Amino acid sequence: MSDPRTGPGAPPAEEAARPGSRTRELVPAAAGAVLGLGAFALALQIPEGARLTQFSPRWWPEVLSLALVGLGLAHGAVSLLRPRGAEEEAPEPSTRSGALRLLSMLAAVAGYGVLWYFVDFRVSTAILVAALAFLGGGRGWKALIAFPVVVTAVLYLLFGVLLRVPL
Amino acid sequence: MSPLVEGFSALLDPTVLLCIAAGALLGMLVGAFPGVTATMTVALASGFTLSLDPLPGLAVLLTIYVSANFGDRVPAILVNTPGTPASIATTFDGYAMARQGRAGLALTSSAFASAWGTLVGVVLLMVAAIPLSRLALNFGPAEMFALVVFGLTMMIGVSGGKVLKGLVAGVLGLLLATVGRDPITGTPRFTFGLAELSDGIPFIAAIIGLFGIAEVMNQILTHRRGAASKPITDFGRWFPRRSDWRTMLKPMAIGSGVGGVVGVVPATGGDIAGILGWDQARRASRRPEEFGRGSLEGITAADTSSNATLGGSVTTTLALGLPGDSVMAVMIGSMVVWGIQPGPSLFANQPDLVYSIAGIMLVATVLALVVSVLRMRGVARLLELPQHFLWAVILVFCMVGTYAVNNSVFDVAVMLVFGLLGLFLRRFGIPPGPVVLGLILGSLAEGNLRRALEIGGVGTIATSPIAVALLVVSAVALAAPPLRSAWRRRHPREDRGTPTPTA
Repeated sequence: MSDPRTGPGAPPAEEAARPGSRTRELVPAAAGAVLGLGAFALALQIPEGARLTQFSPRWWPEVLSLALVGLGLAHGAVSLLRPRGAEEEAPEPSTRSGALRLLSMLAAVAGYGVLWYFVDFRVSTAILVAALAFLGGGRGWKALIAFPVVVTAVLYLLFGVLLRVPL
Repeated sequence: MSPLVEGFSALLDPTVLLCIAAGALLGMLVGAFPGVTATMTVALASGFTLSLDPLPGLAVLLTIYVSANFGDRVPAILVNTPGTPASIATTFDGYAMARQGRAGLALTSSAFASAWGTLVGVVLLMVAAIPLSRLALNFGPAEMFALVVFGLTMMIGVSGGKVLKGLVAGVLGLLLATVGRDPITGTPRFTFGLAELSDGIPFIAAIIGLFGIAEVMNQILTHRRGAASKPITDFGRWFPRRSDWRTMLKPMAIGSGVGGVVGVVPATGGDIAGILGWDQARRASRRPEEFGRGSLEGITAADTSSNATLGGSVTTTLALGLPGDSVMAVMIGSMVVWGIQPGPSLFANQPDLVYSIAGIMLVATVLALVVSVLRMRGVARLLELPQHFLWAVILVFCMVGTYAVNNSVFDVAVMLVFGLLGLFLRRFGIPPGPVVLGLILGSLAEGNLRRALEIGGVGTIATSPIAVALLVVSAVALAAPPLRSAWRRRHPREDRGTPTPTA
């Protein structure tokens, strides 16, 4: 949860913010440059068309992908040249249990995609909500039975009945 | 019939009124949950409002926008955690007041200040929107391109001093906008033979992924058991006395001015305005030493200013086609799908829409104020709801809502991909706002730039005073944060006294 406690009475600075690392700056810089290069290579394959206009359809994507490469390199250079300790604050640290929970929830979502194909929306959605509540730490009949039934009913009423979406 | 009468009478439709009531309820609830921002909720609500007609749909989205700016004050005051970024400055004095046993007074005066701020913004919308759009109607391709650059750089310039990362995000958004057909020749680009991509990346799916799914994934990733603060339960007296009202008048006036001006500037929202309004009120106060220690003036100025941006944001968005803040960036996506193209010609063709929108915001403000004053204690109880309920609801609503837009599983897959992209951006400190803005405005930027260059080369832009002025301001907006940081490093001062947001 983003927790921007900033006002007077906020926790001490060392608790509220952690210094960032150089790697944290270099990874997005490298990702930007690589993405730009990839986009440039793909842009070269865009058909030029009949050249009725001065600028072909590939011109703008080429400009942008080269700009992305340039910005990625500039970002990397600035991160390397910046004195240690001057990096931006790091985001709230992730936890091992959080990563596992996230992966499990994504797996549940993928499973839902398959289940929805074979089973009625109301059943598959209630199962998904119960699974997500369980993975999030919910226990007992309220979290695992009542809550999924209510959420599914609301979704079905809103989308299926009121908005007539074919679910 | 005059546009004013026509615009307001459109609101008499029971469906619109029902949508306003639903939006107010939803907005208050989500505002009260820390971590669920107005941007995220509007993105989420886009999924089901797209099935409605434009006006009822706008009624839901605009009311969420307005009332989330009331609900978010509750956690800011009771647990020192802003419900949305717009209430960051509320924590400065609100939480201190709550700890002094004045939580009730803080909540009520915050609600009145927020209502006043919103009303000032709505008046600004009614007065300025049509003249501004008429002025912008004279813009040609060069000016329109410069305007898009201006909007994009303003959003980058205010993204917490991360100019390079903001630029990467903006260019990435513009690049993503090139997916689909070329805006001039119609040649397919980056579609990989997929028919679903021929109209470009689906806006709503991308927006829900970047703001909804990514935020929830980040919360799941970083959640710690027992990390939540216990809310304050001693509320004290609720209603301001006559002396309190007198104290609130000056900061309300200051907050209105600051918020009105900040709101009109593209891409700047209530978070910045709240802090600026708080700071200006402190400078003008006879008791500046009380600011940050439970000052009624402080909370009033912050909340008036933060909410006064709403009308200005809507004005800029609809009159110029540039999002006034991140919520409006998301809302543009919905409007485009409805066939409403925000920009100079919108109000020239449909002047009554200004008044319908203003009317929706007025009714929403009154509703949110009434709910705030009557049911604050009930809303405060929501803070005790376990997090896993929220995660499950948001994830499932995001998926079903995205599917509902086009009845397309492909859109759901796009949403999940953008969710992962958004998580990557968040973890590495890259603001997602410029990506969305680039994605939405990319086609406009490219089309106008190419037309301007076809007409007379770079000279078309260089000889337009408006385009040059906008580009110069854009350059200054980008250069200012690093220059200011360098200046501060060279000339350190002990205490500037203004808390700054960290998120």
